[in-house]
Amino acid sequence: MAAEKLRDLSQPIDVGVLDATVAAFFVTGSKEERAAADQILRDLQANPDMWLQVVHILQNTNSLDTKFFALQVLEGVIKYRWNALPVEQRDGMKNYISEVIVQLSSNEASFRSERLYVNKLNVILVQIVKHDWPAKWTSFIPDLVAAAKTSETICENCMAILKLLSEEVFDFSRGEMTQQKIKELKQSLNSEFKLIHELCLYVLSASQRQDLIRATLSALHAYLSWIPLGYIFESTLLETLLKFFPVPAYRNLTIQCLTEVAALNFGDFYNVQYVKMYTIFIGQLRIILPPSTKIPEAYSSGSGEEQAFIQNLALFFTSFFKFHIRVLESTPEVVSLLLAGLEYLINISYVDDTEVFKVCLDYWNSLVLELFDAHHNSDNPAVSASLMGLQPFLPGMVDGLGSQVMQRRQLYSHPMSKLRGLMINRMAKPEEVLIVEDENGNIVRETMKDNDVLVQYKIMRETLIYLSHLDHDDTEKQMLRKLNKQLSGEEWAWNNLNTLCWAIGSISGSMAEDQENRFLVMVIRDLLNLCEITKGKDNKAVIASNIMYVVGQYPRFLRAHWKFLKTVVNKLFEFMHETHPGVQDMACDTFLKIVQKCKRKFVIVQVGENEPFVSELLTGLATTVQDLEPHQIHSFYESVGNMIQAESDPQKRDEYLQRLMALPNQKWAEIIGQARHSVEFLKDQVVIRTVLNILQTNTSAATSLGTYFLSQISLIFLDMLNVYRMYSELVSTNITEGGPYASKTSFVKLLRSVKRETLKLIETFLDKAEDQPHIGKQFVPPMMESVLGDYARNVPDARESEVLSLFATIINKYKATMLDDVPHIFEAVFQCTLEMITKNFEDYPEHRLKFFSLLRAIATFCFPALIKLSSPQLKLVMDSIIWAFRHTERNIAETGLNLLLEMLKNFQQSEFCNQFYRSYFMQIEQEIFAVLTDTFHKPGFKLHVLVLQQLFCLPESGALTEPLWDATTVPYPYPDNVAFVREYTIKLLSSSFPNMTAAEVTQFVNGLYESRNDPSGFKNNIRDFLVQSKEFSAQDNKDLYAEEAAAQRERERQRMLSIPGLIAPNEIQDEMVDS
Amino acid sequence: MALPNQQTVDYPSFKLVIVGDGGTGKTTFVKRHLTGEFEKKYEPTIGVEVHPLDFFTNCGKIRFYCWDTAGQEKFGGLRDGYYIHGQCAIIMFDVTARLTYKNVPTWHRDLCRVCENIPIVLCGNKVDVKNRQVKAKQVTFHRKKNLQYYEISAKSNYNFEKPFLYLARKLAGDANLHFVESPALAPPEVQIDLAAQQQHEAELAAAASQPLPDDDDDTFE
Repeated sequence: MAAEKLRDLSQPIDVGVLDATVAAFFVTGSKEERAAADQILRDLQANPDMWLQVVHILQNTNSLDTKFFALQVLEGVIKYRWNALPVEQRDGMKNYISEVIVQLSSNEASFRSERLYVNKLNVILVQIVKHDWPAKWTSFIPDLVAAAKTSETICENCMAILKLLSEEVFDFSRGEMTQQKIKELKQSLNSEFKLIHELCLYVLSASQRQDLIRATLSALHAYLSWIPLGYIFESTLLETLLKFFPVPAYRNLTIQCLTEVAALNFGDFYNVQYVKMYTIFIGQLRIILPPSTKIPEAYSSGSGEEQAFIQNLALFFTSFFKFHIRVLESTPEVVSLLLAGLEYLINISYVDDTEVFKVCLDYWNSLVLELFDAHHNSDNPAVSASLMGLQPFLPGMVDGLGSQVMQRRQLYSHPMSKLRGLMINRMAKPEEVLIVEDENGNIVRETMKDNDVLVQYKIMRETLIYLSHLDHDDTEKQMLRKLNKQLSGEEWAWNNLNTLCWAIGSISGSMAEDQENRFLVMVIRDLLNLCEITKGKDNKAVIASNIMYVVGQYPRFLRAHWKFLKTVVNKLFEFMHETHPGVQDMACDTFLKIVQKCKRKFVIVQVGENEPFVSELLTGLATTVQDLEPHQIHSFYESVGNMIQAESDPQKRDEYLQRLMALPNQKWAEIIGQARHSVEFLKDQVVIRTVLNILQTNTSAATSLGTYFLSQISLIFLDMLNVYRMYSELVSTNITEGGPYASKTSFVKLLRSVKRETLKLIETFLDKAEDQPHIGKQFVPPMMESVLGDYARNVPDARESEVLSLFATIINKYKATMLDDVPHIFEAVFQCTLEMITKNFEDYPEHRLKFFSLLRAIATFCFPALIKLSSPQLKLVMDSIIWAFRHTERNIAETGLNLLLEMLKNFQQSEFCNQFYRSYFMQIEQEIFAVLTDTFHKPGFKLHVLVLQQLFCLPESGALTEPLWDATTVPYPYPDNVAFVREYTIKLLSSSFPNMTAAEVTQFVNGLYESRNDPSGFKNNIRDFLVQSKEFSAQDNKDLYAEEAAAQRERERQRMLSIPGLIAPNEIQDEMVDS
Repeated sequence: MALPNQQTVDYPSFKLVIVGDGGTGKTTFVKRHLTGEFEKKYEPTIGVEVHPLDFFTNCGKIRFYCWDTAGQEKFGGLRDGYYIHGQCAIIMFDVTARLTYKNVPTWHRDLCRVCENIPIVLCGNKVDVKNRQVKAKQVTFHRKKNLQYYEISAKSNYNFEKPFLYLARKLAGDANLHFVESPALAPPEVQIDLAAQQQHEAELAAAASQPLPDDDDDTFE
């Protein structure tokens, strides 16, 4: 391949071939050609001599892509090796880049056609500026501003550069430059902003050129969040911005700038300017977007720009109101503008776009909370005062505060009423259920716990509850009115009904009980009516679901009305026979939800009845569940488990539990009985499925019964372990004989499902059971052989990672009582799991994580067990911890680091402190520095820092009573451990980072020592070190610092000299030594 | 916007750049769409991998050339060089790792400096995981930048087509465009056809009993 010769960089590169390679990569190549080209380009990029070809390439290629590639190479050099280059090379490069930029941007045609190239050149220039400015390029800003004045296109490009500069210094500097450098750049930019400000205002007043004005607005946008306020409020800037606002081409950019200004919040000093800005803004908005505009329609038919404008408008209003709404409440004229703004925002809130809505919602939530809080707090003193008969004594205070609050409520009452309508109209879905296939091919329902839709519901619910408190009657009226529109058919649609019922359900508990009762009765009456007059099974199913949803949301009502509760539950039982899609799931879900909230009602004998409901239920159990799917039956068992759990009489409880489990237990007994005759019976797929189902039923009941499940699990435990072991051996044999494909067969998958369910049942029970040490003691020993022993004997592919998590759960739960079992656990899982996970970093990802979690549980709760390990064993543990944090997989590395921290702390407090640290201190420090400086491990930064801090604090903690170094091999006697650690660290880093000077390394290590008790200082030191460790010997920078340091020393000397006697006579170099 | 020579198919195709920190699930997400499998192992991507991904819409087929780029700095390869000619993009972060969200602005900056004004979707992946670190409420970066945002789970297939649908609509300029038939992946609701599965297993067993070819076998590709 011709491209191969590109690799020879001893002579000028063949630009034609390079162009072809670049083109093959980006555009013309087939998959293979692209991959080959990618490889060559990456190799070239990594070649340290490549950058010397950059100018040659730039001058000889016409391909934009090639130019871009060449500049990328250059970028790397500037970032990491700039200061190591000779000054001529730096100046040459700087001038070349500047010239090309000026040349290209001085010509409209080339500026547009080579946009990508110019953009990248700008980035390169800014990278250089970050090194050289201000010290070595003091006139950068004046130079730039002067250049900007020579032509409009150059000016446009200067704006782009200024924008980049602000971004690099203020938004993206962390971790890219040292703290010192960042501070310096910020100060420089701040002090030179005057020139930039003048330039911007000049352009905005003088230019007619759209692209230039846009570039200027865009640059300003980057600066507005940090520049001194005077530049904004005491110049013509705001006026100018507002002038540009109505122009369509500038609308989005201006409003983004105004939003930045709106989000500034530094006291009341500029209130007048804010009112003025808002007033002019609304005036102009009314022209652009007349208040009568139907914003949601305009949005959905709008262009991308127009849609962005609506969203930006929402951002402007919400920022402005959030920080400055109070200044708009002052005079009637301004109040009317405030109300107009709120009206706009409410209209925007109806736009059919979740992200736009979320912007509005966040603000509505905070506004409503503010109004409610004031209202709430003002209510209380008034109420308590009047209750205590104190009112006559404090009229001024209570009335003053009260009337103020009342006035404010009055002011917002109309928008708040509209807001209620909004929340009711757009209420989010309260729960999200997914149907997914698990890894064994079983279809399972998964409830989303924490995603944006649920969060949106939570915020909306909260908002509506506050709104409801502010005016219950209005809330009720609006909901019932909407419900009527369902009945009249005016708004009838599934989605509308769902949304309305979610809203009705959301305010449960916010009204006084009698109002709520009345309200709910009306709602249910209307819904039942609706169900009656609506035709079609689909429709009726939707309405029924909604009735059940609403009912399930009002447990207080249900608890107070047994007859109604019973009717509802019986209705749900009816639904459990209805095979119309979704109805059975709905019935089971609602049943569970209701039972969780009203469980006690089902175990007491209600007036006029002979037995508790649960007993009645258990009698009809088989019939009730006969049409349900297995997963629905499981949910049913969990529900009934909840009822039983509420029974306080142990005898009755056990009796109920027996009756509940009678069916599965009978099946189980049959299967075990058959198996005693012939083990083959258990290998039948139908039987395996039944076993799985029985176990799942048990798990469900265990989930809600907790400790009270003891009698049931005891009943099946030993047989279950036998089945487990048999299936496990079967899996092992299948995999051994069947090769890699065997583990993918449905037979093996099914067997594994049973294994996992067994482990899950045990884990669920042990986890939910109350903390009773004897339970752990009772259940763990039988598992030693059938679960742990089995794990060790299995072939690796047949080992379930859940075994590891089960024992982690057990140790986390039963803590030190498990101490004696730790050696057995170790013996069974340690060696064999390590063998699985130390061949590489990828295989068996679940075993990895769970193994280290188990180790962590042991270190946390059974630390004495680790101390008892032999030293080769302990070494294996430490090595495995180091192995853990070498993983690039975040969770594993994090678990390893947390574990390490705990080990370090525990050993420090133990009597083995000296011995442990002498063996591992150096290794750990070295390993931590290795990951710390490896970008793969960036996510571990925080924990790396904590470990280092621990190590640096150790020598002085008093925990060590002996030297850390080995006196027999280290001839040089260190004065103490502090000195040893310092020396060792310096040596370690000096040899690892030859690009850093000895002085830099020493300064860093000293800095670490000084800041060891100051977590954030310590962390910042390390952050700086990471920046420095990537750069090649910052020769000049060092000089710069040295100069500064010398100046500082001189200042200090002068100060001391000025105080007679502070400097000893022999230290003063007196001119007249001897006169 | 079509690129010369990239149009190897006779229907519209677009270069889609996928960026984000390492380990956020970019490759898994693409693979899930390509083959339906969910990869649990983490093997960092080196440089870039390009995969064509076809979708069927009511207006005909469209193709995304997915440039699945390396998230790990060390394996970054040509980095922003990969973004050239990008016509749309996905920025991925992992809701269980705060740092990956913190770095979103940097990925966005790098993208925008090369591709001006392309439609971009921000995706928060792994929402199926129990204790997430980046709460939905904290995700606000996209608002000021006018990006679309979706929470997704490559594992549960939650919202897994949404990012592509959004981009397709933007690129086609048709807000009503919709997908008509799922590619590669069978939707999870579908019952597994037991007969088909058994036949498949029989074939597998037969294949397994065959002597394995010496070199890398592509038999199962």
